[in-house]
Amino acid sequence: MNIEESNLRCTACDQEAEHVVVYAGRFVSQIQCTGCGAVTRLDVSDAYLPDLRQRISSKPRRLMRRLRRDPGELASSLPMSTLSKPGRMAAEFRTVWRSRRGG
Amino acid sequence: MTQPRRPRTPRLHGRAAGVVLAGGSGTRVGAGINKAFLPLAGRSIAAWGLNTLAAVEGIGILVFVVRPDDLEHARFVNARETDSPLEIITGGETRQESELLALRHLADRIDSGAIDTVLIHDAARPLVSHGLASAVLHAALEAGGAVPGIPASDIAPVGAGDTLGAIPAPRQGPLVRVQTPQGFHAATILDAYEAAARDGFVGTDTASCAEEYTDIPVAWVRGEETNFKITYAQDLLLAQDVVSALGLRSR
Repeated sequence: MNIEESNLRCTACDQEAEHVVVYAGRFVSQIQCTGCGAVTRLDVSDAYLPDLRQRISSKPRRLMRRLRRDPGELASSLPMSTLSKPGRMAAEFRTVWRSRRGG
Repeated sequence: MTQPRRPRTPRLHGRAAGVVLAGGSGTRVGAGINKAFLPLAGRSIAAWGLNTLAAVEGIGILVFVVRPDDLEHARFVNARETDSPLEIITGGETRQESELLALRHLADRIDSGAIDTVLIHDAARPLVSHGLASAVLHAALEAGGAVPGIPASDIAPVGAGDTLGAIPAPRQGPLVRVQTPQGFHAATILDAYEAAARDGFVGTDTASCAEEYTDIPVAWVRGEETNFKITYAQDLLLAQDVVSALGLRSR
């Protein structure tokens, strides 16, 4: 699960405001306007598994590309990202599950 | 700050330069990121347009114009989300100032003839197609200037309050909603922006400055509905759907 905040125009209050965007994997699963509180939720569960398969199958190629471009960066970041991966995946699954239940 | 090594990179070839503007508008509030760096289906919104322009035959240089605050994000995009090298510069307070700084960044190469055309694109339009960018480039090479436009036959004037206004007298021709990328003869548009800066003229987009300060004809090519600008929060969801529907892959 990944959470970003960015300034977007709200469809509900029509004001420019900070929006909290929640991602499940590569999909936006929820957007909340911090101005008026309007929340949009999406059920991403159908799309998530095929996309996860694609992410897994393309991982070796993506790692190789990073290795070719900047081996030092990869070597320094890989141990930490490997250790934190199970936790991040668990959070991602929880987000997908919540999107399926609608909240 | 050290730049990551970039031994890879398929070099771009061509005498056109692509300029992608991620300056944004308005003041930043809170700790949020520029929307151009929000992830869209696995890579940032800006990276989609950058990669599309990089794939256009004839574009040899890519300039990425960002706010000083966003330099770290821009370097990440350069290192991890694009296949071609980016020239990252910081922009100005306004879109026009950012365009001017990008053109000045290219000025030596424009003067030497190494760059003959520039394509200026909003980073917030991630789903521009390769075909549209190519069409704009070719039209700009032929006419001197070119923009994508969507015929706007369904617009109506707004009157007082929530009412529609009176239908204006018939115009000479149909209207189009203008999009980006907008392509122009490089030396001409550089001169136009320098003249606009001297006069303090501020246009709405590249074409408006070209119209005011050059006499080159600006052709329009048919734009694409999917080349919309991410403005509303829901636009992000729509863009996500378009990526899925078109089977686009982040990489």
